[in-house]
Amino acid sequence: MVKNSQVLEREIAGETVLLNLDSGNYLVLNETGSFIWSRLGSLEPRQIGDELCRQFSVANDRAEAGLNLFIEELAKEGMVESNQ
Amino acid sequence: MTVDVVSDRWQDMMDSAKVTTADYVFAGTLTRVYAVDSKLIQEVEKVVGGCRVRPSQAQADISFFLISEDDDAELVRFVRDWAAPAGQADPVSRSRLFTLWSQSSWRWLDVHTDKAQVWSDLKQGRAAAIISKRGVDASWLVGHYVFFPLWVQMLKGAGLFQLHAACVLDGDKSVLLPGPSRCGKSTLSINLVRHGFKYLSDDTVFLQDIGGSVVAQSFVEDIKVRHGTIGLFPELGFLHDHDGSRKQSKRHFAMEDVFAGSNHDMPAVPETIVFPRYTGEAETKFKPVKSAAALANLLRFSLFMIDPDSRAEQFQVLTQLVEQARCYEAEIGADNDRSAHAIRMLLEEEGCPSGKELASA
Repeated sequence: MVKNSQVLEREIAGETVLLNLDSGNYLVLNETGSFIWSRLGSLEPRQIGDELCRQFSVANDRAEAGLNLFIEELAKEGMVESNQ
Repeated sequence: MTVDVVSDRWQDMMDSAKVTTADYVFAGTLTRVYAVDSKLIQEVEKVVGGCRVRPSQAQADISFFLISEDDDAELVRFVRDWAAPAGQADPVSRSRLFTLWSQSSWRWLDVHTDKAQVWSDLKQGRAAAIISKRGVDASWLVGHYVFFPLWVQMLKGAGLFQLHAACVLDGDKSVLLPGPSRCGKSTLSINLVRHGFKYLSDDTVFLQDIGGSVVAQSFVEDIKVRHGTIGLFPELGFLHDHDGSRKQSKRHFAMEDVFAGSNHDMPAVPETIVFPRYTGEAETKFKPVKSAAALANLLRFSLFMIDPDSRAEQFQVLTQLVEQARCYEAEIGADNDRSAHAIRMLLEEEGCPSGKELASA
């Protein structure tokens, strides 16, 4: 998955607001979401999962499940798209 | 704005003896409204009457022509020919009230499907509406749903972005009160004006980036209130139906007529944003809102985010606004004196007033 080029992002006080310019959909990402978003595209999901475990002291399987759900939500809102 | 002078019949048609005009200046932008039936101009006047200026020879930034389908056939044909380049496209937005299309510099609307068709060419700064007989009969529709939506689109060319919010000023400090209909914007803004605040707007402000600060441009309209709100303020007692009935769901009044000297027609820089919700309970309560959540809220209340071409610039203005302002949610209680005092404390202090501070007010 890569960031949709039609998405604007603004990081404000540790949180991020995403706006899809095509659809007008928007999302607010909390600190964890912003952490993942900032790494999308430059790291593989597995690497992001490893960083999540270290940064937020969570178990590997929990981090992976949370990451997958989060990316699904981003895809549903058109914030990321497949790079296949 | 560019106009092809050689093929431009617009000015000839507008200069025709059949057409009357009215000029409005809002935030330095001159809008000239043309109509054959002066009743249509009176309806526009209900929306932008506060900006009316004497007619001049100055070139208008925005020209807006309103015509009834029963008016002169040559004028109707002229409008249809002028709007022909709008062409075909998929709608960008549909609502109960209208459908909006967008293609290159053209925006066009169907209002209530069959009551009016309105076209604008943002590049030319021109708009024209053909209003059906049913549309003309529903006179309230002309100002609010034929003129206003595309006028808002055209103002974006001057960097003015509409937000669904009230705005009031205390001294040199302004507070923006964004929110959906019926959240209590009018109730709170009337209460604050009653307590000495100045009035910039009740329902709509236009945000503009001026030199790196976002300002709220005053947009003074008649205030529409329900009977529940009228009952909260003795000054509004005259709005009750004389026979005591509640025939009309909303009554209109001008803030300046009730609270003389309250209008503030200069822009203000909002440093505080309060998202109000009127609860009518004993206490007024505040809670700080994180800037990102405040930005998401503002996106909800920026109706014309629906226009894809201006979303990026509008997003930038809203982002800048939440970065320059402290943001709160408020549950507004029934004690008018305390809630006004609480807002004043918010403007003066760095943070939310505590329940104890409010209780001692």
